[in-house]
Amino acid sequence: MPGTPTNIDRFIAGIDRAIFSADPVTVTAHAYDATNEFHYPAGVVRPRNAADVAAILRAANESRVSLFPRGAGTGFSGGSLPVDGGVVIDFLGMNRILDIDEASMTARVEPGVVTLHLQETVEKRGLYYPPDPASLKICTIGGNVAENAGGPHCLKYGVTRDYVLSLDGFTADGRPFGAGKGTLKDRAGYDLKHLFIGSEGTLAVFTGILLRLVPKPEDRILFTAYFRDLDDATAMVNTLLMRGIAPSSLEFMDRSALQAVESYAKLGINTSHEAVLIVEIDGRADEMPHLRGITQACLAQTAADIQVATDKREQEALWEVRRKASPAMRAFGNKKANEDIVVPRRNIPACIRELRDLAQREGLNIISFGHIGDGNIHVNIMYDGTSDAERMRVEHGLKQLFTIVNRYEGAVSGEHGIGIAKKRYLPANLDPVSYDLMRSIKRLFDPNGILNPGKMFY
Amino acid sequence: MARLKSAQDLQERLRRELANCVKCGACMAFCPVYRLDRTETSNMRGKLALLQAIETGRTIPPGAVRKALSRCVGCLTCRATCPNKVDTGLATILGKWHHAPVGPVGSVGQFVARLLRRSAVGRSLLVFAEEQHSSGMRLAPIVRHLLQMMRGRKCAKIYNNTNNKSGGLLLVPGCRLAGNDASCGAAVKLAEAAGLAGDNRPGEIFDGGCCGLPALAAGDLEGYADAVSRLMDVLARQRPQAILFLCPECWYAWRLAPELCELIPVEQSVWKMGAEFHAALAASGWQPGIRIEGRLAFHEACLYARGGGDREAPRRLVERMAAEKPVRSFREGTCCGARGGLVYDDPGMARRIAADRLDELRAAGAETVVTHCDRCRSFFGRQPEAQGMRVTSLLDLLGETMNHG
Repeated sequence: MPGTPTNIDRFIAGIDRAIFSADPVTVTAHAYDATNEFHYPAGVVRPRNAADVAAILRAANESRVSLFPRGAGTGFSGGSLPVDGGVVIDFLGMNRILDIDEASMTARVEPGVVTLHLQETVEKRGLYYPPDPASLKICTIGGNVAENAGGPHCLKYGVTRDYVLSLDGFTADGRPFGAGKGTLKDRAGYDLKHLFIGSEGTLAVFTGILLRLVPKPEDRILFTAYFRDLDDATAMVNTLLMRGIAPSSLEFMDRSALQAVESYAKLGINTSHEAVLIVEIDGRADEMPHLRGITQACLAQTAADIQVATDKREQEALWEVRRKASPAMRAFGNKKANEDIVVPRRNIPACIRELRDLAQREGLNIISFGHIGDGNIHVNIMYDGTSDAERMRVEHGLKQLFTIVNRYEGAVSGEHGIGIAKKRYLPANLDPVSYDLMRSIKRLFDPNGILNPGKMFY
Repeated sequence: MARLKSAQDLQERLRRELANCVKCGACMAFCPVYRLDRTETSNMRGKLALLQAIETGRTIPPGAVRKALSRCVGCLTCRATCPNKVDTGLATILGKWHHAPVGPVGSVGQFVARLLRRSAVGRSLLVFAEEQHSSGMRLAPIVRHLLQMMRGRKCAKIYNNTNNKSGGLLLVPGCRLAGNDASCGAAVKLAEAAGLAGDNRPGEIFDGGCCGLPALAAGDLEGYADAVSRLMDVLARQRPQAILFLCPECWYAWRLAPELCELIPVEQSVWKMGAEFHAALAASGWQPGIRIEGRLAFHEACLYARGGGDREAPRRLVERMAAEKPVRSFREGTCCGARGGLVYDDPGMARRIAADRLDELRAAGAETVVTHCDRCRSFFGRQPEAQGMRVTSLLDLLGETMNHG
């Protein structure tokens, strides 16, 4: 429901006026995210603590003002965009690491803590928080929980969901809850915690998050392996896993991505290769020689060219190929349709080939790379955003892309979330009953529809 | 006479830069101001979004836009980290100029500042006022400081080449180093060693005028063009073999000239003489006469490093002068806090940024901090966190090690 002057006034009356702003600069600065779409809110609240959040939710329910929780605004699905002109809750002010418990290997944080800051802080104590979305230097733990963020390390370590022990927060009508007991095992009723994780701010708002930590790996080795055959590259994932190698990172770039990077950065890549795998293994220092030997032997079976990096500087150089992928794509268009499909691993080669056919058939610049170990492929369609004809062509291409995803038993998003960007493709990606159940859950948790409306569902 | 490009060209350039920002947020990661206050408009994405919103018809009061654009230390880390190569420095300059005019009262101030910058004494006074604003100097140092600046008010010196009287080295020390004869002398010797222009002997000292950077920072493009034009006029007459800038701000203003001004061919040829001093010196094989004991750490200057890519050569020079391997304490975007509008609008925040950086350098084990910007040196040197550490400029250290050879 839009933030009309009348209900906004009622909303403000229910909160501490000091945390609300409707000045044009603040409003504009909360109107966008990494989708580069602009939706202007009626105002922005910046809570300082849980009491502020409770008041915000109660006031919003009473005044029927919709709320849009926001971390750093780095999402690619528009999850934090205030699509109906309500009020943005900016959580960047709640950014304290409340406690690090080394004995139980946990960290309790507020939602606005920057992911990298948490990682750096716990690493000083020999601990490790593995989820590493690409935006980890700026994105927040609250945003990561809301989107169930992943990252390259999730093949071995899992996604954000696997590290959340409990959530403290408020329901849409301002009632406090604690979901999860802070224990690894918890069978006390329905698993509300996991329902909230990845709910994109549509069911509840979090103010305290207890995270599980693991011991910090002592050492890392990085391999890049170039393949002449796409099937060999994808088959290598299983080869490694079957030999007991669980790469901490397993990145994939197809020929289109390699060509784009070479054209942009001139790194001397042999672009006749069909694909490259970037394989990172980590662990205890004493086990690394053994792991290195097995990994190298596996890769040597089918890879045409293998490079190994043991020290940090060499590893940085090898990562350059992957890091240059995003900027390299800009040469192919000023606008990017940034999709992050996920398909079962066995279907990756066929899916990639279909994407190539799609690109050729529709004349689209499709560049694919991603986290092959978990079947998550970032499909990027670059185009001229100023051309209506181009936009229509990309729209048409996206419909076909998601048809391919459905055919290969995949999901429309592996880590970016649905938000507004993919909600039109969600019904066809789910069975009707699941879709209906999800909408019922939303109605149950948020009967007045004030929490992040317009997202995920129609 | 260099003149400002047409308003249409400049607006088009601004639109191009804004269109290149995809709001990915990569620039936010190392922004020293955003790191501390976590306010979206403190980072470059927020600033560019404001300008983009105005371009698409949103009404935002110019004063508010100017305030948001000025909440910046001008470190250009955003430029260095942008995957789409948005020229953030240029975009904010153009944004201030086009969308955040200063208003009638500010225009008078801008006009007065422009007049002051035309005279060497006026410039000295402006620098003096600026330094006062950001520090709590006591009276005796204030007087000493003022007198030193007045001494060296002529900010450009031409050193004639003994073999070729038609030209030589033009030294542009900038307002801060103009009175520092030792630094200027060392710079000329080093320039000879770098092969920029040989066999120099002191020649004419003249007032080349302001580099135009202060006008740029204020979004006063007419004032900048005025400064460029005056400088070009003098240089076109002098026709030096090479120009050596000792101040990153002058150097950056110089580099932006072809972006913002129409230059005639003669000016273009002079413009290209702004030689890359550190790279030339490092490549020349120059070796110091002595090595500096203790752990050195290099702090790079924003406008040299992120504004023009002068990053590795100064480090190589520091390594040569160090008795032991310099410590590397380097997070991109770490900044001394002393540039941009922040130092005026929120000096407390500027000092926090400097303190953070100094703490980081100390934690890395630095005993001597070497920077290639005199503003960084001066601002760091005034912070309590610098106690017990030596803060010096690369030029002074080069001079020191050279003189012992």
